[in-house]
Amino acid sequence: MENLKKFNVEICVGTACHLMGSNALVNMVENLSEDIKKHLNIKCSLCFGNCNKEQIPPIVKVNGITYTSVTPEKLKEIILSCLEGIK
Amino acid sequence: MKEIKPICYYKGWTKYGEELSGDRVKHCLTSNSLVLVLSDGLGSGVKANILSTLTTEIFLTMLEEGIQLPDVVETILKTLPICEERKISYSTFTIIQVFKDGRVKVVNFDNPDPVFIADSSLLKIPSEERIVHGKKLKLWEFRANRRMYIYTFSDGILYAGLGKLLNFGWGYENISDYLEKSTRKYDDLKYVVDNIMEVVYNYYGGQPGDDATLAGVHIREKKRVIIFTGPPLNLEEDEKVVKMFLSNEGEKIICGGTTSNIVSRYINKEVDMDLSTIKPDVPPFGKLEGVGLVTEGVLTLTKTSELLEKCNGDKNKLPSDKKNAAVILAKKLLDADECKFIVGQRINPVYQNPELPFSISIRKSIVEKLATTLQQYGKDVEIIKV
Ligand code: FES
Repeated sequence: MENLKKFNVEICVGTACHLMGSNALVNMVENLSEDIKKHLNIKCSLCFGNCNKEQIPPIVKVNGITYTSVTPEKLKEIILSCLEGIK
Repeated sequence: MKEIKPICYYKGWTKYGEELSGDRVKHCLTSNSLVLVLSDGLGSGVKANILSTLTTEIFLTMLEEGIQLPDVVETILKTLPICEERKISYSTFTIIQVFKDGRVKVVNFDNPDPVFIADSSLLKIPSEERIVHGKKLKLWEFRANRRMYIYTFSDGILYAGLGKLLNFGWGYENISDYLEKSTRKYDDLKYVVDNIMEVVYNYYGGQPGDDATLAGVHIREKKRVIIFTGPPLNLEEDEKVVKMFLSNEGEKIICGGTTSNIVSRYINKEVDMDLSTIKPDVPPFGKLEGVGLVTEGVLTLTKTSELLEKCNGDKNKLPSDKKNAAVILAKKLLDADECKFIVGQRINPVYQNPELPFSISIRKSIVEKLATTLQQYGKDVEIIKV
């Protein structure tokens, strides 16, 4: 069986990030097709501790890289390009 | 059980066509016990009502004064008038007294025998008979060392349905069985009592042929919750506060992202969040080893406070959403007898992040509001600022 390549998507759902829209990010990710989802390790955090460093929430880490002020569209783009990279 | 917390609940129907019930239940807390008295005045209507009211009032006043139960019973039996024609006392009574150390005393005079249920099964506890002033009393004395329910009821419950739906009325055995089954199923005093009174009402066809009253006492261990919310003012205090939090008795809850990170780092375990519980207005919740519930801080606490105010202290009125952090937290707080909050005072710099279009309320004032509501609902609340 081929070993499925996966990468981490960590969404912050802490106070600031939730207020700034992480709910929409979680919904977007959950509604992705199974084909995409099977490559994702979806996790969430209650605060990366980044929001106080003048980074704009909501904050997401994909493959260890931090993205700020993420919108559902932006996150989808990030995920799709990561997917390209592992294929 | 380490420390006992008895609670009681009762409900009654007045005989159809009467304005006043001849049954009377009342309870009080003395310095070291909970006392519940159920009295049934002979007949129905005003006279019965006055007699049963008098009986309960004398009992509670004397017991509140610290007079011992046997002496109070003596006084009552000496003063209770006897009906000339029927040669029976004008008023029956049952007293249930549960002490903080778990001792239980039950005295019954002419009401149906109380029903004891422990670990969800009927329990036959031997009684002792005593004749006081020519009147026969039944006494039970024991120590409650496990969760227990004690129910007492007037004979109006016994005869529910008499001559209507049921030839001879509901009957003691059937009622005991029903109490046992509902208690096992619901394990909730108010729910069981309300449910049974509904059945009684229906057996009577909506027109109770007698005053009918059911009272219950639930004996269980005192429930404590401890909520840690917000990082301590001094960074150096983190470890000390985490230790204090974890060493506390009772169910542990963390409300706050940074707070959960501090605890998680200290015990070297990761918070396990359940992403499927995210709501548009409430962030999701999770678990951490040794901690039953981990939620976000101010948004969840604000929502919890709102829910608690709206439900009027009745957990059955909370929304039924089992995947909402605020609903779960509200339920845990309502279930508890004692709520302790460890409130960290460190200012979260994010609240000053100019990019945030919302103003976030101060944690301290949310907790204070929550505490006031919980106190109104009879909880012991303590706030420790760190
Ligand atoms: S709340 Fe998201 S990084 Fe702090």
